[in-house]
Amino acid sequence: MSTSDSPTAPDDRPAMSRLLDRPNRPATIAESTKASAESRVLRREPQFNLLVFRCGAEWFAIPAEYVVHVSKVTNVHTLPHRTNNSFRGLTALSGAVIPVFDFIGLLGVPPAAENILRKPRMLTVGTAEESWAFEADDVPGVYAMPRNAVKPLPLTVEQSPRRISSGLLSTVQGSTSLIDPERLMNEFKNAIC
Amino acid sequence: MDLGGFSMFDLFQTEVQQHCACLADGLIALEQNASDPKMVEPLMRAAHSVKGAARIINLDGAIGLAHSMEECLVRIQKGTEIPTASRIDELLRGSDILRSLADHKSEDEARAWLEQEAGPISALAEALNLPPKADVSAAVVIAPAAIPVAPAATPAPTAAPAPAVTPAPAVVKVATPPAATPSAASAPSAASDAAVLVSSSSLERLLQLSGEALVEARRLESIRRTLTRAKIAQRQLSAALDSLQVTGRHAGDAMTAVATSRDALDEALHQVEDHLRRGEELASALHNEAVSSRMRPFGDACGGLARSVRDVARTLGKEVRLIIAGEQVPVDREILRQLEAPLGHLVRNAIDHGIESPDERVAAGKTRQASLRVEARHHAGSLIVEVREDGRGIDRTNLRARIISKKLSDASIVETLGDAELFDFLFLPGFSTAAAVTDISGRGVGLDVVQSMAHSVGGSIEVRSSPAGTSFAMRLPVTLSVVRAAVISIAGETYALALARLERIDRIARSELKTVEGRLTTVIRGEIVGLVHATEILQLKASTQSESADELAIVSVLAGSRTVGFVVDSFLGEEDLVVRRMDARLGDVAHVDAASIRENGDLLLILDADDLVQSALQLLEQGKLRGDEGRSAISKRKQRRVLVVEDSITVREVERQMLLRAGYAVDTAVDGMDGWNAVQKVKYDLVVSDVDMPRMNGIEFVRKMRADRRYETLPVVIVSYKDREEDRIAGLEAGASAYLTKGSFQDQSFLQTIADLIGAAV
Repeated sequence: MSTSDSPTAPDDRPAMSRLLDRPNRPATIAESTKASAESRVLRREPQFNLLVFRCGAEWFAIPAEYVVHVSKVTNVHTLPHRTNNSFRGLTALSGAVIPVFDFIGLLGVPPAAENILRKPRMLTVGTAEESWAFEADDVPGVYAMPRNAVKPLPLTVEQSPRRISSGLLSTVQGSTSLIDPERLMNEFKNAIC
Repeated sequence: MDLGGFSMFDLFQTEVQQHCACLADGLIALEQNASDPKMVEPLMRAAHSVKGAARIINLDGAIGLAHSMEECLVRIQKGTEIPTASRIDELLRGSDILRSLADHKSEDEARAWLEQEAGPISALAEALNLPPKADVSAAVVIAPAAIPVAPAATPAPTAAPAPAVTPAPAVVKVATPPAATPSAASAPSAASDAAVLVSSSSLERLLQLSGEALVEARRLESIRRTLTRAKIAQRQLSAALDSLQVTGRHAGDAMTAVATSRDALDEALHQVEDHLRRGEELASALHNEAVSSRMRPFGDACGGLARSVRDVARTLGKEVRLIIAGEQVPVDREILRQLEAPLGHLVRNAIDHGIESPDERVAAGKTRQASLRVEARHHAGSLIVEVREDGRGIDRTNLRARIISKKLSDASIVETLGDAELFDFLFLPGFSTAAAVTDISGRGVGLDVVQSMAHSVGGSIEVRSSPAGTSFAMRLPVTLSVVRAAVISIAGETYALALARLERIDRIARSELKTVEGRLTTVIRGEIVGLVHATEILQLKASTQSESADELAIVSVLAGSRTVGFVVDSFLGEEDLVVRRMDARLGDVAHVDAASIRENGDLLLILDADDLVQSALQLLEQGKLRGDEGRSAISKRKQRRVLVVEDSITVREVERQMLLRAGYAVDTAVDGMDGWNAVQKVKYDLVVSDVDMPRMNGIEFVRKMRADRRYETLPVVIVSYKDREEDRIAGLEAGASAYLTKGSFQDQSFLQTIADLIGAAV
């Protein structure tokens, strides 16, 4: 703390009172004004929490409220007559029997370069009543993003009838597709019947 | 209690169903014991509650009717009115109306029905307000349903008629243990107060989590093993240190460290063992409790019996005393639900066909009043439900004559049949021993329905009959949630088959596989058994490991009187599996009945033995089974098979006939979804599909096949009424091999296109 702006006249108040009553320096005032003005701008900007994951060569983000859980990779049991490129079968997660998809096969994502390290995790998405699982190659975690950071999809993706993304984001991982959970669930539903 | 998931109408339904069951039973008891005002009170309360429930959702007609019923019951209680049989009839009819109102699927349907029936309902309400009609047929005496029979086996009071029989679909009732049931002589008791509403999905989740808790508790076992290994290594370290025989300060420090780590390891091991044991005990108790929460007392299925016995006996002029035993015997909720109709049928059947008229009985030296006993008991791990009366018994001569007259068997054979084989004919569809079709038991729902229910849950039914009476005993599994199964490995993955459906399991050497006419067989205990690879039926790729194994397992399943053997990789043992219904999103999965999670947390699939046998026989007929490699040369020249997917029955039939005449084998499907299921089950050479169809249209169907590697190259011909160019382009863009209009039937272009794509029929 500074005493540079102490009054020149003698003051007989106790030291603590003097300290608390001293006027703010203009520099301090300007600084706090700026800080609070800035934070208000930030607060006005709506944010959402996104779970970011990689499947094959592409990065995806899904709103965290659609993630039921992230777990170790479990054994997937083939379902006779049903298992195919996009539907792998069934697995047991938290005591429930959950259908498992092949995200890469379902969406036709290109494979990753071979030198990229895999840290696979089982992602369960959906709701507690109706959930679906798939294996992601890497799940770095949940990120908070401002909503206005979402950029529109390129026309080629926009026009695709089976797209599952609603926009693009720039994350530390690079260009990341923001998944529209409803579209993803629809793809899942179509793939199992 | 969270009622968030239930609508007001759901609650109305549950409440009305409970109270009406109480009314029906109570009214019949009242008829026998008119003087007891104590018995009227619960009935008044029930009518009053129904009135209140109807008021909440404003069902006016129902409010009025319940009100009149309540008023009438008040008069009976006060003694200003005597409950005559016709008055009881009116009250029962009122209870029936309220019950059917609550049975509607939605509030809107209930309201519409109420409006439609407004006339008769208000007439009944009116009649209830008037003095009772003079009674005409007071002669019929029926014992109350709830006579405390108290055989030694059932110490629990049998009095309290069970509440609601069919709760609303999303709602199950969980009652407190039977011991809490009061032993009032016959008044409908407050047993239902002890029940709470729990949504079945919540109950299912509880079962899942308790299962997972058990798996997690057992996972500690591997930590215990690691610790044990550490302890052994530590001991070796200590011994090695001793044998080094070094001295000095550092040696002393090392010895102390070794001793400390030994103590710490010992303690950790001890704690883990303790924790493991307690955790496992607790988790299995929790799991058992969750599994058993699916059980309900047998009495729940008997709710309507007393009423039905009364009505049927009254109509037929017979005197019957109904005895229900084992009301507290726990039965799986699902079995209980399925049991209701068969039980009702057996009871009606017993009164109609088994029990004689009072005069006949007296002439035969029996009491005027017949006894009809409905009993549930556990025996040798099964649930036995028996319906027994002391009537005239089954007339074998008459039965034999009917078998012969219906040309079901030759007279010479019928004469030699024993009771068991003879009575088997009773269960044939449409076989009825009644001389005339009666309104009571001859209305199409025959004993075959009773038998098929027993079979569908893996049970059986047995008939015994003598001049002193007839008994139908159903042997059913105690629970559907746990199944004793053989765990097997197919294509390197784990599957199971319920033991009840299996004939036997044998391990054989690969060299014991032989072929007969190119079909795979083996000899088991001196008998030749036809074999089918399980992988072939399930369309799984055999794992290389299993292809080369020297030993195989054969699972034999009865198919009628013959046996079909399924070749699997290996037999892993017998286990009790907690059954998990297949996810509804998957629809029907061929050959798979359910899933289960094993003790190690892995999933396995429980196969449907009947379905497997069915498919095996079908494939054998079509000559599609590989059986042995030697047949592949023949199968190359087999008939070409076409699938016709078309929702219009006329067009479907036209296409089918044309293709059949051209020599193709033809299957049909009614829409894209049906077609999609069909192509997965059978290998087709070509698919013909319409465009406009419900559930999945032709374009979606073609896209779906093209997206799947298995059907990428399968030729598909679209035949549609739509002949615009853009329709044709849409079809071809989706991946169709050809696009024809329905006019192509007139000329030869339909058949020509197909021949161009896959060649002639054979």
